[in-house]
Order: sequence, then C-alpha cells, then structure tokens
Amino acid sequence: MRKTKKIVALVMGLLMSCSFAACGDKGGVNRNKTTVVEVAVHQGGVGYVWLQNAARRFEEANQDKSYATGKTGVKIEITPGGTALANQAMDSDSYNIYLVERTDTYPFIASGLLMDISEVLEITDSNGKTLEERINPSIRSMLKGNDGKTYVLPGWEFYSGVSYDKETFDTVGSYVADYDSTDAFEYESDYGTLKIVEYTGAKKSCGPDGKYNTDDDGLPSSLEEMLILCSYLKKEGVEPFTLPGSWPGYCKYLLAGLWTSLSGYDSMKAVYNFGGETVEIIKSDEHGELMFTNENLFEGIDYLKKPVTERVQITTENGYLTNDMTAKYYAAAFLEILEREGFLSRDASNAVGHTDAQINFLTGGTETTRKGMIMEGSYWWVESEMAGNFEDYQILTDKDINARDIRWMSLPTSLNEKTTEGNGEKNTLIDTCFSSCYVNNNIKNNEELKTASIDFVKFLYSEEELVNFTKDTGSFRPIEYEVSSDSFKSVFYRELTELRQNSNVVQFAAENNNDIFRYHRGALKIELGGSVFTANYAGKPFDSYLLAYRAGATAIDAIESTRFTPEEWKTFL
Amino acid sequence: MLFYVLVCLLPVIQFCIFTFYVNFNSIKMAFETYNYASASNNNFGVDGIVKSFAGFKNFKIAWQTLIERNYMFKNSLWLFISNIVITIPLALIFSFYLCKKCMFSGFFKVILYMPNIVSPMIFALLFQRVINLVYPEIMEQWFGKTISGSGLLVTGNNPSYGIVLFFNIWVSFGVNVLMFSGAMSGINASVIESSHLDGANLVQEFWYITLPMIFSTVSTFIILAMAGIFTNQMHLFTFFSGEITGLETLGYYIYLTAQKTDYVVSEALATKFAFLSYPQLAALGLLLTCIIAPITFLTRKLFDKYGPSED
Repeated sequence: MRKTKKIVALVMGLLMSCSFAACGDKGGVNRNKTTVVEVAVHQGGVGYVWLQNAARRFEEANQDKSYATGKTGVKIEITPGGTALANQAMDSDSYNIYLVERTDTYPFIASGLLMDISEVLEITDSNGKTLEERINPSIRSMLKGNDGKTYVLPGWEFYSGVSYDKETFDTVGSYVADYDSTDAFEYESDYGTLKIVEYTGAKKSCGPDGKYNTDDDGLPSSLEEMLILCSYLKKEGVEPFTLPGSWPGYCKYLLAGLWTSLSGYDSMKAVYNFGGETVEIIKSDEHGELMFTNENLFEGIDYLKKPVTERVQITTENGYLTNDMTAKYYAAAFLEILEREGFLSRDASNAVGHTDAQINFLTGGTETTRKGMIMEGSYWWVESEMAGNFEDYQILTDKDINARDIRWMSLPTSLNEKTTEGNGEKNTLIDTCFSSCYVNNNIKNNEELKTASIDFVKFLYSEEELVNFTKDTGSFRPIEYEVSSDSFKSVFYRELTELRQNSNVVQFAAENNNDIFRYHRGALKIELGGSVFTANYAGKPFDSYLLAYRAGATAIDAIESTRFTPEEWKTFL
Repeated sequence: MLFYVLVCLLPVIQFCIFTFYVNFNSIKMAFETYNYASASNNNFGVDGIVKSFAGFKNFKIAWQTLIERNYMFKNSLWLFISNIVITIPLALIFSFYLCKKCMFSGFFKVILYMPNIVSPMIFALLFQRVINLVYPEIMEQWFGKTISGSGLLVTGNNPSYGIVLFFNIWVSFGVNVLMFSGAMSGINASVIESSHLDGANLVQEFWYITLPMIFSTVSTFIILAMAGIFTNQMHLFTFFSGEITGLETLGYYIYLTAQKTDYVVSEALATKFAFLSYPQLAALGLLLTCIIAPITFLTRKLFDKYGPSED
C-alpha cells in the first residue's frame, strides 16, 4: 500500500514537472532573436481568425527586417480576451496593441495610457487618400485627445437588430402582400387584419424603404404589421423570435435596432449629438411623469397604451429627453408584447447559450421547431462558424451552410402606418460595437516594440488588409474602402454588405464633438453594457428589460427607470 | 545569514505591498475625486485627469447605494447565517461521525472531500448543468412533470437564491469537514477513554469533550466567515457571468463593478445605476469595514470569554 502511494506521488510529481516544462518560450519563439509584438484581441464577435491571417502575412512580409540589434523578423503573439482587456491597469500589461470592443477609450487617452499613433493616419490608399480622410467623418474627433493627437483607431462595426430566416418566411409565406395584390388573403389575428401573400412569388408590399423589387419587399414596415406577422408565424408552427435563454440581455439587440429604425437616422443622431435634431418624445406632465392616452397601443393589447407625444429639438440643455423618445418606448413595448403573447421561442427561457440558440435557429425545422427571427448582433455568423455550428449544420441537414438563406432584417419604421411606394425611408443601422485599436503607451521608450507595433497597426489599416478583414469577418470598418458583395461565400454576408451600402449607420460618436458626449459617453452608450437598457423594478436592478418584464415590470416601468431627470442631467453639463 | 535575511524579507515585502500599500491607497482613494481637466480649457490629451479632495462625498454616494440596493446586504447576510446555522453544525456532526469511524465513514470521507479536489469553477459548471438540464429531464421523463423555464440557474428565469445557497453550502462543506476532523483527530485518546469510563455517551462526548477541545478551530471559522460577509461572491459570477440578477451579494457587486468601472464616472450613472467609480468603491469598502470590523472583534472577544472551555 505504502509503495503504491509512493508510485502515485512520483507519477503526479512528474506530471507536474511536465506542466512546468511547458511554460517555456511562447509558441517556440526565441525573444532574444526575434521581435515579439503582443496583441490582445476581443475574443467574441468577429473573432480573431482574421487577425491570425493578417499576422501571418505581416510576419512573412517582415521576416528579414530587424527591429533591434541582433534580432531578425517579427512574431505577432495573439491573446484573445473579454471586455476586461481594456482597463486602467494596462500600463502594467504586457500587451502592446489592443483590438477591443465596447470600450470607452476617452478615460485611457486622458490618463496617458495610450500612445500617440497619429502617424498611422498618414498612410494612403491606391487613390492617394490618407487614412484620416477615409475614416468616417463623424467619428474622427473621438479618436483624438484634446491635444489634437490621435490615440485610437476605429475597429469594426456590428449592428444591433434581427436576422430572419428567409427560407422559413418563404415556406410559410410570411410576407405582407401589396395593397392591390390578388394573390393574397386577409389574415385576421387578435391584433388586427393583415393582407398576406398566398405564395412566395406573389406581389409583396414595398417594405420599409418604399421601393419595389428591393430586398425588404414584403417585410413589415410598421410594428403593427410585424406583430400580426408574429401571430401568423406562430399559427404556422414557427416560433417568431428567438434569443439565448442564458443571455436574456440579447434582447437589447432588438431594442437598439427598433429604436433606431423607428426613429430614423436624423433623429437617432440626437442621442449622441444633442445638436438641434428634432425628435418625437413622450410628453411629461408638470410632475415629470410620462403621459399616456387611454387608447391601446395595438388592437388586442390592453396593457400598453399609446403615449401623448410632442416633437422637440434636442440640445445639450435638454439632452435627457432622448430617453423619452417614443421610438424607444415602442421598442420596449414590442419586446414586452413578444414576451407576454408567447412570441419568444422555448430557447429564450431555457438554459440555452448564444451559439446554441444560433444553431437551433440555423437548423430550425430539422431538430427543433422552426424559428422566424433571431435577436443578435450582425457578427453572429462568424461567431457561429467559430463555435463549430456550421459543421453541426452540415451533419444535421447535409446541406451547404453558405447557401442557407438567412438575412439581416430591415426593421419597421413606424408604429402602425403602412409604408407606401415612394414614402419609405432609407434603412438605418446602429453600430453598437464601439470597437477600437490602440497601442499601449508603456512601450513609448522601447524603440523596438514601438516601431514594430506601429508598423503592424499600419499594416492592419492598409487598404489591402481592410479588404481582407471584411472578407474574413463579413464586418466593416468605418473607413472608406471597396469590397464587393461577391467576395462572400455566405448569403448572409452578401446580403448584409448590400444592405449596409444602402443604409445610414448611426455611429457611437458625436459629429459636433460636444462635451457631454466626450466626457459622459459611458452614461449614454447604446449597447449591451449600457445603462439605457437596464431597468429598476420593485427596488431591484435588472440587466435587461426582458428580465424586468419577467419580474412583472411593464415597458412603461422600464422606460421610467432609465430616464434622467433634469437635475441629473445638470451633472453632465 | 543572507538566507535568513531573505527569508524574513519576503513576508515583510509582502506585508508592505499587499497589506500596507493596498489599504493605505484604498483609504486615500476613498477621499479623492477624479475629474477630466476642465472641459473648457481644452488643453489635455494626456495626463488629463485631475484629482482633488472629495471630503465625504464618495461615502455619501456609497451609503446611498447601500441603502437603495439593500437586498445585496440581505443576500450577503443570509449566506453568512446559512453558513453558521447549517454548514458549520452539519460539518461538525459529520466530522465527529468520521472521527468515530462509524459505518461507511471512509466512503463519506471521499464523497465529502471530492468537491475540494475538483476546481470550484468546474464543480459550479457541473452543478449548473445538472440543475439546468438533467433535473428538468429527470422530472419530465420519470415523473411527467414539465419544469417551467427549465433553466433554474439561468439569469432570465428568476433564478432561485435557494439553489445558489445550496451550492455554496455544499461546496464549502468539504473544507469544514476536513478542518474539523483534523482538529478532532488531535484530541488525546485518553481523555475520550476516560469520559467513556465515566459513562459518557456519544452525544455527551461530542458536547462536553470534542466541541470544547476544538472550539478554537470552530471559532476561527465563524470569525473568518463574519469577516468575509461582505466579500463573499457566492459563486455568482460562475453561474451568471456578470449579468445582474437581483441575487447579488455585496462581494459580487464590488467585484463586478470594479471590473467595469473607471476613475471618472458620471455622477448620474453612480447615483442612478449604482455604477460607482474606483474612489466610490473604495469608500464603500471602508464603510463595510466600519460595519463589520467592530462586530468581528466583539465576537472574538465574546468567544474568548464565554465560549466552551476545555476545563
């Protein structure tokens, strides 16, 4: 027995020493002979395969270059991590370059943690235009410190909203028919009547953009139409909306998307700009309480009422009113209706992770119930690929994932007014990624790492690499460069690319560089971690409106709890 | 000589950095406020954050948070009470059972120590899967009962505080048993034998001999648990990955906020959404220390004075 114990102890000791032995040079690189640049990159979203590809190309291109005496070549070490990568302790981090998402970089600039990378802006494209000239003008100011130097570069965009399964929509004919279509029938639901196509090829409505023969034909142009379509989908055995039950916060993607589409580009800019934009808000009484009429928001929905509205010009003085925008209330109300009327999938209330919800959406009708739409960020296709969902899809369906017809949805633009030809609106997307690239200032005195890091950043922002990035991820950077939609294998990214080219994108930026946005953007941001979509109810905070609804709150409670009072707003001024 | 100096130097350096500096800095920060250099002078790009003396402003905001989010206080307290009322007494009984080498004691030993061999993170994830997936499946397959919102440990399903509490009791059980049975095995066998000769039964042996002789260990556990009331995170991060659920303990809240926050946070964000800045969190920490430190010292004093004695 004693001998056995000794042997076991010896084996365990040996195993331990093996793990210590593994802690040698990272990736077999000899740091005394090669320059090593450490890059921290956001783990989720668009992933980091694109970065590995870019790193390999950069290493090959610089294999004979020397950044320090006695060293040849450069190695890019990539470390994926979460949002915690970006923090005030970065001056003691070993990472040289950061590519992060959902980060407010201003405190880092002000703290002197970021390196001046102004020289990167001078690189030119094939037309001789500098990078600075090609960066979306609305975000240029937020890349700079108050000294005019550039410390941050824009990362990549992803949009909040909804993807819909076009194959399911085609199968059940879930499209709004054109007003004069004869190949249509009147579908009567608890929420009203809607003319729906009898078959997929029938003449569809012009969609939210008000133009025929575009991708949004037949898609609901109002929330009322969308609600009735949800009812129709459910009747046809389809779960209208899905989201991961383990991450109910994903409902914020729907909220942000709807808030934006219902507001339109010009109004939505007010939430960061406060530059005199006119927006429609819910009127408040003399006590500051939101006012509502007795009229139901939709037919058959007696628990939500139409608000009393007014149009106001948003300035820095009354910027708090952006939280009272009717579009925000309608989005919140629609989510509440989805929850209360049973339009959310089973996955939405079970222990289902985000990539599991994605595969269930992709394979809907095969293994699980068909799903009509998924609340997600537009990056989800790449994320799904990284999670191995595409292999699973292939096994389960024996079909090619790239042919799977899932598309980003142009969302409704009004509460209950049907869009007619020529009266539509250009689609509006909202970027809720706030991705950025910056260099750690702790290497400012290390010429070797400083030069190699800036070279790599320049490489990443070269015209060719911008295109490669988009081809690898399906996501765009808010920079001017050409990528043909034919470059993509998947229908999803082909269609998204075309939609993006025909859309306005609300960026996380104030075009007028106002001080409120500059210093308080953390309190204003519209994204998963933003306070704008959290709710307080019955003395407890909830991470999302959906959680609050499940605890008994209403959309009005949710909106009320996220409003800023004029007194609170004064602390921003 | 050099060896002894180095050996002594290590704990001194550790004390200086991890006790003295950290606490000193935390106390100092609680009285500071950080702001961007004046927005109007527009002259900063780097080193643009200025700090100034805040007086008790941070404490006021921290106290307000404590009052408004008082459920966190309650959650922390319930965890402590369950530890004192359930975990420690049960662990004492089981340790006694193991020490007496009763039936299946060897088997129980393995079962109870097992969770401590496996990383708590892995154990928590396993537990989560059992609760979310296996339990509903068993209920449906064997009893034909559908569990509504089968993910009982999913943020969106009004997760049960009881389930999380049960996990914490379970996972800390092994450590307690390990320590108590270790202490019990150190009791002189002749004392126990003598009590048997005097006619003591097992209950009397436990109450009059064992418990007093290991009370120093028990009291240490109670005092440690008390000191940790406001730092215990209850494994919530593992279960809910940082989403706010209404189950937060103060320890979890502080950890989560410290991860996301910064030196400068808009005042409205702090007061309305309890998103405190580093200085405000430091003030909150000090406030909690002010609450718990006297209670802890008093408890220790009371234990020393009135606790069971070996005499």
